[in-house]
Amino acid sequence: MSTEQEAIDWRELRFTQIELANWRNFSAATTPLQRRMFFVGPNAAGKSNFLDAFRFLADIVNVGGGFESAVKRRGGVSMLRAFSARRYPGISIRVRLGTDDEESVWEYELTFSQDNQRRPVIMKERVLHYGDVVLDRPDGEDASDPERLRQTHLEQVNVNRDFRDVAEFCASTRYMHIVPQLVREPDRSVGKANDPFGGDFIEQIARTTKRTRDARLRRIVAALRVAVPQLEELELTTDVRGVPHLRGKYKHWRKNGAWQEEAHYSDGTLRLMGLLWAVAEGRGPLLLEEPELSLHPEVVRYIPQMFSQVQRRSGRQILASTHSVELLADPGIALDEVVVLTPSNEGTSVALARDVEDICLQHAAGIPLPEILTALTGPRGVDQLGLFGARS
Amino acid sequence: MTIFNICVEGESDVGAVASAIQYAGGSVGGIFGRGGKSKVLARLEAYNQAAERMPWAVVVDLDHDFDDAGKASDAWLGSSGAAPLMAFGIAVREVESWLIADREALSDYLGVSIDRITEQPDSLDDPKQYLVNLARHSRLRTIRESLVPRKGSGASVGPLYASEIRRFGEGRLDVARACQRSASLREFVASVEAVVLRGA
Repeated sequence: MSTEQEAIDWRELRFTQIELANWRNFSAATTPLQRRMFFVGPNAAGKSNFLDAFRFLADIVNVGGGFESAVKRRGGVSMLRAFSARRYPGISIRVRLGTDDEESVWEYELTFSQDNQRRPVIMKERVLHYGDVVLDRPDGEDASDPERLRQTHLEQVNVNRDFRDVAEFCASTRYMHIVPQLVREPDRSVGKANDPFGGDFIEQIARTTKRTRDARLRRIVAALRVAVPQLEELELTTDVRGVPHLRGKYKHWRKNGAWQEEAHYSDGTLRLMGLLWAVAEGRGPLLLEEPELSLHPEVVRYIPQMFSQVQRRSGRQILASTHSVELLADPGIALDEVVVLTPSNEGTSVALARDVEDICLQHAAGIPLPEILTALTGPRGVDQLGLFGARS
Repeated sequence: MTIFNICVEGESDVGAVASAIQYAGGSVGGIFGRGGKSKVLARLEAYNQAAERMPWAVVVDLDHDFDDAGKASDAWLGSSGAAPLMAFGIAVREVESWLIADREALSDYLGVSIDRITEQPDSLDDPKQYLVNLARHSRLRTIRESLVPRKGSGASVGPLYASEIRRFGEGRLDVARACQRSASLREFVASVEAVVLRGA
């Protein structure tokens, strides 16, 4: 291994490929991943489940997490295994981490199933560094003590020293899907830390150091003003019970404007704030579900460009599911940045738009990408929905 | 001030078209289209009808659909032609030619020598590709990364093409200078001026 190879810091890595077997909707799915990816497909094709594979890896290594808890939180092995799985009982996630120049710096593979007490058990855990095997389980010690197969080495600091970068990288993955109602009424998700649905969104802001927070809020106000022109200022305040609130100052016919707290923000304002906060923080991969929700189409149109701007600064990888025609209308979206999910009886198949001949043909002929994708992923017979409620 | 609703094929066209309208004494109200040429042409009749009563500016790329803009205009607008408050522009062969026509600003923005940039933008076969190829030779990494697609990506432009080109058109394009080299831009500016005069 050359010194140059060793010099790659985990913060510069991104997911360059994922391979799933028997994971939820996917009996077998492999796709390369660019720095910015959009996942498209009909409802219930498994877009969230696909993103969940990345979250699963993060849950394994996160504080208070671990393999067993990550499986349990998802309802156990039998809930995770693809319905279409037949011969192969193992569920497998295999990811490659690399850079633009070096596609495979690390490779991590985890295959698991359950024992006869329905407890998750590891069938295989493998780590490769530039193709060299760093970890290959089960090993001799696992054979002598099968209980060891209830924990990954990835989650254990005392044994992951040789591939700590993989653990650090997975832990840096963030998932964000702000539910405005939860931000407004945080009581509904009491006690959760880093709640991806925004239950502790304001607390997350409060936990950031004042300097970073103020700088970020200023940038967010500047960006938000495009969509919410009346907004002049954002600041964090604390009420008498010590609960943090995000106050926004709105322009008003009165000279000094009016202050409002998060409980009064619109769904769109809250979601856009959440989106901007999420893309501004951290450097690890960011998973987003339908970032277009509640936003005006004119705002949505600029989301892909915003992602690119963020990436130009921080290099951060962004993986997002979407149904939005406006979002996909951006001419700068490459065919290898779009993953098309197609459900069938044998599970959902996954293909890079660049590798689907029909898409490439139509795209080369000048048909706009959103039109092609909408026709491809729209449900058949959807007109029947218009008849719902009619007398049968 | 005459306020125009505008309709263009794509986001990247907005800047150049808005600057041309401002230069001709108008300003931009609503922005329509941006879903490709077929959508603009499909609604052209409706926009033209609306332009009987209020100012509209629609710009379509000639591409290789017709030999010249006159034939295209006849075919697209029909026998009755443009409504009194319609400024109909046909970019030869794409709106990018109008940007390329301001060689000085473009060379400065792209970080390429001015000698690389053609003096006859309306004669270009594929102006968008030409512009991307110019960016490929840029001295500036940010320009290359923003405007040039990654190899093998299947995209014809880079990830920030739409917003960067729009911004260039809005903020740096000198319409007077560009008009000297692009006849199709001159014609569009003249038709906007005519509507401004009628609307006044």
